[in-house]
Amino acid sequence: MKQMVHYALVLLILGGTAGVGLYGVNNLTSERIAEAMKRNLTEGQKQLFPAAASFDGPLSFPLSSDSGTYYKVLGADNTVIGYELDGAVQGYQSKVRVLTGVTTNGVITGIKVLEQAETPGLGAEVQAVPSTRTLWSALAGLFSEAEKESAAALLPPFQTQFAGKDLGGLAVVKQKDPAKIEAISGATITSEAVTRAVREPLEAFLAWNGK
Amino acid sequence: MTTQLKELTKGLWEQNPIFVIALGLCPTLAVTTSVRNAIGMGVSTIFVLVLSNVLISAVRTIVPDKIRIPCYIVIIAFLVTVVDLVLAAYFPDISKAIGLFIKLIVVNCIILGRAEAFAAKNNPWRSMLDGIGMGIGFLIALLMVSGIREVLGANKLFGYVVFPGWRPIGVMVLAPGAFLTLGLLLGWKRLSELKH
Repeated sequence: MKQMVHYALVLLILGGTAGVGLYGVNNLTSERIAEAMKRNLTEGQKQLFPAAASFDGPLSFPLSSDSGTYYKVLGADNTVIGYELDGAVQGYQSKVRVLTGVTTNGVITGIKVLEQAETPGLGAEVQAVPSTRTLWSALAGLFSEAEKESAAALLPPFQTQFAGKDLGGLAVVKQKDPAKIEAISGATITSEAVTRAVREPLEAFLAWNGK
Repeated sequence: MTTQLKELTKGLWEQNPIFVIALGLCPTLAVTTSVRNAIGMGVSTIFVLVLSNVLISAVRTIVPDKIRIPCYIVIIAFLVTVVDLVLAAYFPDISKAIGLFIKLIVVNCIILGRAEAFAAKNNPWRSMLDGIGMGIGFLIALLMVSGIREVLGANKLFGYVVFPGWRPIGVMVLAPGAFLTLGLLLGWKRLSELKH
């Protein structure tokens, strides 16, 4: 009995210390983490609508039993040139959050995965940008400035598939099909999740906005 | 001095956590699709392993034997969460690259294995040396497996094409390729020991 109390006390003290420590660390870091996320969102917004002058939002629209978040994209003369929807669904092992840009006609201008923590090498490949350079030219590039690659201009191929499609094209297939979304091999669940995070808010939004 | 040096170097090859102790095979199979992923996982693990070894060794005399495992898990989970939050707040670029791996470390059995087999019986200084050595050994093993898999499976190294025009063996980037590579490397290591 005395031993049991001793064990319980040790666990209590250890757990309590860890809890208080995490509370402190969380307090110190949460603000900066929120800022970094916000920067990421702002970058994504500009990337999907490079012509936009400003964004109005976050605004909300009805999405199934809950509500979804969207932004109005305003052009130079303050007219609405499109919308951006912020959608999230459960992926293979994490929440997958996607920003979708859509024109007033319902055509997708592009998507950006804002958050995901899927398996590295499989699901996480939705954000991968493959290089077309060879190892040898990259090694040579270390010695000559001319071989620099403009990495910033490259977008993940999985995500660029969405540009130019509308609701009808948002289905995941395993074979090459330019009219649909081709899944990443070994990561069908994540591919489906990204597509659903685009389709579900878009469907609800178009139905609500068009009425 | 020589025994201390031994604590540091034994994990590199002689008692390599993957090839000899065969711990942490799950993350090894999962992240060795590319060398970049391997480096991300290896570096994050070294970091958490060294910290957890030192902390666990420091509390080894006050933690009762019967409840040591839950205590170790609390300490490891605490460390992993702190590292995750601090990286996300102060080093967002690094966090983007290796944040995925940090969360996987909680379940990496090398950390718990070293806590149980070494840190619980040795002082913090020696435990730190053990952590550094085992961590680097883990990274070395990851680099070997991922180097082979990335070249054969994707015809790439560090994301760059190696042999222009050659069509890679796709199965090497999937799970069977990981088992094959790891099995052959393990066998090769044992064979080289048998000859001596």
